[in-house]
Amino acid sequence: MSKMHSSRRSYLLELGGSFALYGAVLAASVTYVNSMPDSPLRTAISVSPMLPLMLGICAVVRQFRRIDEYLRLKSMEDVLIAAAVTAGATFTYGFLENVGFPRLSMFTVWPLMGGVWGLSSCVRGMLERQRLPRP
Amino acid sequence: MKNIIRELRAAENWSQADLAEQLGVSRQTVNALETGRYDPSLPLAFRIGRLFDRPVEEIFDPESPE
Repeated sequence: MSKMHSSRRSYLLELGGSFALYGAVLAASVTYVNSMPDSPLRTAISVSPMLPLMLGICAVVRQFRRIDEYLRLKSMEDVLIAAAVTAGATFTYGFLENVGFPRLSMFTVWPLMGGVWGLSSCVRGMLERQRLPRP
Repeated sequence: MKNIIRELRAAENWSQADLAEQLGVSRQTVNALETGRYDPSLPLAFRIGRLFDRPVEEIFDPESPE
């Protein structure tokens, strides 16, 4: 197995493991939080799914350090574009909320950024297949 | 920068995946190098030179930006 394949396999295992753990902790947390009175312990349990998610963040960082220089550059550009678009969109919507638009949950931010990230990667992939220069 | 990586690889009868494996990079990276979409770092350029047993300046042509 090549170095690149082995690194991708490790990444998927690490990420998959952390997501599985996240799902289990989330299910337990939601069950307990709904039946608990308001208390600091309830607050702590409500954010407990973030602990296994931090393992996922560590897996992403490890993978970023394992990939080669070109893939690292591409990933950085995709994340930069996603962050910039998300900043623009969330600020715009923040101003719209000030004039009566419905308030949105913070949970909407990541799907937006992830979507732009995915779109940016797809567009780049299409350009690469056509062997066009990077935008 | 233009380069002759594709020609050198073809002369060895290697696929992009073969070359990627020997350089310790992804096939996408080899493709980006060959099509001139990416200029390698100095360490990677020297690895390419050593692999094909040629000086870096013989493989990469800085006078012809792509």
